[in-house]
Amino acid sequence: MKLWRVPVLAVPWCWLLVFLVAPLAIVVGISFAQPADGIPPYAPVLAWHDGWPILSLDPANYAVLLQDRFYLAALLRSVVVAGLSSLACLLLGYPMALAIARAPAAWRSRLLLLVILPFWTGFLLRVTAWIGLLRDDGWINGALLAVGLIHAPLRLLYTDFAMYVGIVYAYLPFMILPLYARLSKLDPALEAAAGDLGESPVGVFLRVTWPLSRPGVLAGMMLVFIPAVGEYVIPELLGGPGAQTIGRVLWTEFFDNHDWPMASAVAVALLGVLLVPAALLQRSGSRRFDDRGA
Amino acid sequence: MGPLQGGGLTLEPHLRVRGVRKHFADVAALDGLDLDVQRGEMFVLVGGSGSGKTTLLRCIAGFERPDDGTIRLAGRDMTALPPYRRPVNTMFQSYALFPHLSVARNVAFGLRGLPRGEVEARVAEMLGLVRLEGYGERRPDQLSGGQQQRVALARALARRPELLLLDEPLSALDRNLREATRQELSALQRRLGVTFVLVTHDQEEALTLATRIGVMQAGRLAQVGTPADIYERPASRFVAEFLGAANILRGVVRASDAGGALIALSTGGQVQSAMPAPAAVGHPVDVVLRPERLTLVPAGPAAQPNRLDARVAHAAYRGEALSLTLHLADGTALRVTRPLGDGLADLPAAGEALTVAWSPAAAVLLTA
Repeated sequence: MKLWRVPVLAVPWCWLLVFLVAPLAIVVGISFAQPADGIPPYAPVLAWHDGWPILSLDPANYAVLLQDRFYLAALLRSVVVAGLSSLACLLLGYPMALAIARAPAAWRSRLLLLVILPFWTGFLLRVTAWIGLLRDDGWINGALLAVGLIHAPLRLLYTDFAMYVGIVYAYLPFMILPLYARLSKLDPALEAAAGDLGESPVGVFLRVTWPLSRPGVLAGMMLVFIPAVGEYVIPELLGGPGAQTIGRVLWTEFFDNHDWPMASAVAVALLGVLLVPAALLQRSGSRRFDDRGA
Repeated sequence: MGPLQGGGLTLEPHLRVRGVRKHFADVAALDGLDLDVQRGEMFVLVGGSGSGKTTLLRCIAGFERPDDGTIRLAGRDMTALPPYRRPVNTMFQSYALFPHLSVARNVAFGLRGLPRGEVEARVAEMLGLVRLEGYGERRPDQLSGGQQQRVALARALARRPELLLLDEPLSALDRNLREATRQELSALQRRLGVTFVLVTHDQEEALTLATRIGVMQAGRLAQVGTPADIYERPASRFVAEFLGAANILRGVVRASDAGGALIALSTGGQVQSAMPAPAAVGHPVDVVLRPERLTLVPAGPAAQPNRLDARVAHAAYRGEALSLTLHLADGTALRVTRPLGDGLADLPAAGEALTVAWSPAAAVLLTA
């Protein structure tokens, strides 16, 4: 009876082993290697001497990572950018998710379709489209000039503003969808009961709607925050030269400096930083489960 | 302050609903409804689905705004007030307990603004009232259905409302629990003296709980009265059929005065009623006969009034009673409920000839 479970479970385990564990091990391995001229551009970590495997781990890259303010600043900047972006997504996404959840049933699926509609076009294409909107002679400046609100084009493209706009735009659906999932399951009688017990609409929101939607808020924040920390394309295409996020640093180390070991060390550090919120999410998820099961 | 059951009041009633209309997309849920409820009453609204009873409750609570009409409570016009400004609390059919708050914090939810000590005292008092002492720290999902129902009641009563609205408060409980809870609810209401307006579709619940019942039909009150009034003297065919089972026979008035009336049934036979006919001599009336008011007697002279010859079409043993379906000579069906005597559970055989009899007081006359 149980034998058939082995091949079934083997498929996902093999998948994880081949496409997650093995590449991760390779990246971690390279991060401890020394750069070298050649292909690949690093000295092997594992060498054979008289039939014995010799592991030569060089922590120099991590030392540089910790000592050179450049890397830490980039990491911190990325965390701040991702944090502010997920907050902005929350502020924009919450009312949208609430409105969709409260819309007449016939409208809901149409509105949700609008939320995921952008996914039908390539991500790169959509981000590039913002260049056309934001540049000095772009659509936004053109419109503002035409109605006479401004007399000289605003500097929009290649600024932090443009970067934030791009990130929020790209990741907003990831905030709306989990929030909607949560809010649409909320029993409307609970809000009615809170009103009945003397709470004004603001009080109803603060004491019932918001606390009950918190798991959706947390999930949405994580879904935006985690990919936004490592985001490379948007800061590269829309951000200014000062927007040295960790994704751009990684790219530079890998493709421009050909320093694979340093790039790997940056990637491992990024992963380490992202494990914190992921663990938080995991913990809050299991705690909710305990509450229900106890 | 006892429940007032009669009219003749000079004071404004506690709850006064006048001419309330509410339309949902061309459908009139409430169609110019008037209702007076006295202080301390247990007023039960019954009616089929779509009769408007829940809409009326939601209008009184403030969740719906009537298109027209006024709702006054304790002398104040509440028609335009939002729910959170009304001295009215609701016990929801689904209970609507806040899943993220403990039982105690659910009960305390509406007490914001009171001093801390008073809140604690009130919560303890309410939990005591519904016999849930010691459950304050539990989560709603750790309680049984009956306990959740009591938390919902405690939470709704905690603010000491002028009026408590209960939307099908017992419908989520299983049958045995429902009966016990019904008695508790009734005792609690009398002890607190709070005015209750309760909506139910369960006629037994309505008859046993209510000081007065309002039967709703198509957005209006078809009849308002004490349970006995409504059951014994239904004002219309609809009310007669809605509360309890009823045999309704068509007839023509032969004679009528203050002391009673004589009706000739269209199925043959005559009815002598203790009530005057609601129509003139020669006009049609409906005769309502409750199944439990009919008795089976040995076949006798058929010409006597309040007697009909019939044959057994179907007999069912129900435990506490026998349910018989009889056919009159012309095929009209008549339901009879006969209590079981000592060891008399033997079912009459189908086809057996019987005579059905009733007293003049059992025959209720309605305009046809």
